[in-house]
Amino acid sequence: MGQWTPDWILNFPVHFKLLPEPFKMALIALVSGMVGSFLNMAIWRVPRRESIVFARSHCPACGHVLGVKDLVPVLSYLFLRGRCSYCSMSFGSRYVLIELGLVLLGLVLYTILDTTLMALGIFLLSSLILFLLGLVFHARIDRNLLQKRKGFTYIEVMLALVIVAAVIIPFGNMFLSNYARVLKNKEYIIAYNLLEEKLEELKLVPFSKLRSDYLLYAKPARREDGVFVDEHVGHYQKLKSNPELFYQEFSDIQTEKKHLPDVLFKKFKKVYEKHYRWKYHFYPPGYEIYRRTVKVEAVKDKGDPKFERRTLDGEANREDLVKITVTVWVESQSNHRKLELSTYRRR
Amino acid sequence: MKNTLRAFTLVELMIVATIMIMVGGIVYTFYLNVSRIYHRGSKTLLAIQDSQTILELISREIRSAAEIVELKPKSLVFQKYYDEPDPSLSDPTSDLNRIHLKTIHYRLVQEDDGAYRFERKVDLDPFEPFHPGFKSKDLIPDVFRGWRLEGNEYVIYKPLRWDPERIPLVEIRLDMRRDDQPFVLFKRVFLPAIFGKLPLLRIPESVEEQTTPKLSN
Repeated sequence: MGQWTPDWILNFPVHFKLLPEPFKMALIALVSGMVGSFLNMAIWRVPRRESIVFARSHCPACGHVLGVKDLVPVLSYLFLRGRCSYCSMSFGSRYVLIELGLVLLGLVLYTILDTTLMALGIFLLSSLILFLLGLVFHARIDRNLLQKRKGFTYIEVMLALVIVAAVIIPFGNMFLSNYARVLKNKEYIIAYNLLEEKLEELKLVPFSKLRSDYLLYAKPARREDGVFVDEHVGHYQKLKSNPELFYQEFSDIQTEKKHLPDVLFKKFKKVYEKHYRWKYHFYPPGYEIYRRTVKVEAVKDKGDPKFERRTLDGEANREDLVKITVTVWVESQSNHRKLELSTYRRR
Repeated sequence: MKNTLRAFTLVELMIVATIMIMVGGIVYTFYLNVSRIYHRGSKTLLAIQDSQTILELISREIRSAAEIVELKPKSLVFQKYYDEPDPSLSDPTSDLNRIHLKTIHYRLVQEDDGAYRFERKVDLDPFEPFHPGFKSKDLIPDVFRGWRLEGNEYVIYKPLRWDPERIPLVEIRLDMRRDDQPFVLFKRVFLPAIFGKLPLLRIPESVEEQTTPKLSN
């Protein structure tokens, strides 16, 4: 491949993804219908030892080569009402059934699994089963072609094997999905530990010093205390003025493999150590998939009267309550999740 | 002459044998892969569950510690408040009777096969295997770390500069270097006793003991 392949073929996967949804569905329906049409032809020709590749599509009765308007899957059948347009010989409902089945299968697979290798595999396997089934039933119906014999034919044995395989594979997948679940669980446990660790750290910070990550690292009271103060930090400059962007990108989990640019990381470390008062150490390898931020907001009350602190006069004093929310994002191959834990603190 | 013997020809047998071998091979490799993945998954699951349980159990116990006596990568000794009644004291109704200190030892022991196991001991009792399910060859034996206060910052302490009074934080780190699924679980536990909150419960015996190091805010 490479230099001799036209660009539109190389770019096809990209262009296909960009197509609007109805076009994608129509294209998939058309292609699966064409596969069904091919299968019908093969089911007719294979027992007769005709070539399935080189001979053009023709009517089995009058031998007239079919034109484009006779080859559209399903629709042609409906327009011609199941008859050859040249000799008006009727052909069976097998054609439309197989085509319709494959069109439906293609659409269902696309909606469930999207355009993945898994979907393609299931589609091809089902086509193979359909083809073999078609062969068997076609031969049964037309007994002149294959004599009725006792015992199994090769085709029947093959069909049985394919069906057995189709049954075994889902069972195997059960175990595979079990493994994927184990890995997911591992990531959840670590994420939960990270949440807890941060809350533990935040307990040690004096109440007056509790800050959201944005106010701590990006927009502190003194400008030179911030992490993103230099002019030459490029993209990170935006984080200074845009809290939304900041919470989309920032993380206080830095590992040796993945961390802020060195200049910024030095500053981050300094700010962290000044605020939380312990030395920042890199997180262990494997923690690259986690991202964590802290938000602190002043709240009036927790919406629950039992948490209200009463003054001597009997009026609720809600001025000094903050809600601390720690959020951990897990972004790995198997997991895209956001976990959140929040707690309240009083002065 | 017509052949009336009913039997398989050699060619038929060979074809059947070839097909059987092919199908059997495919099914067997598939089964092998699936079972390997299944066992790998269940092993990883057990390792994670055990590690997390150990982490929870030890960290909960350290949370109520009064004082860290010794802290090394493979062992941790601390004193803990117990509030169960002590039958050896004369007055069982007194509140003070219910508070007494016990010394808890944790250590990591290497067994003959190279695997590590946690053991726990209370006061003078012999060491007992802790959470017997847990035994791992993949564990890196650097589990307990102390953090000490230096200036205004907490830093991981080096065992040479041993100063047990000033360890406000213990980190338990289970670093499992499994071939297929390496993972690190860790937990940092803050000890409030160091900041003069828990000693309210403690009955000071001498003037020296009443002075606890204070944190400068």
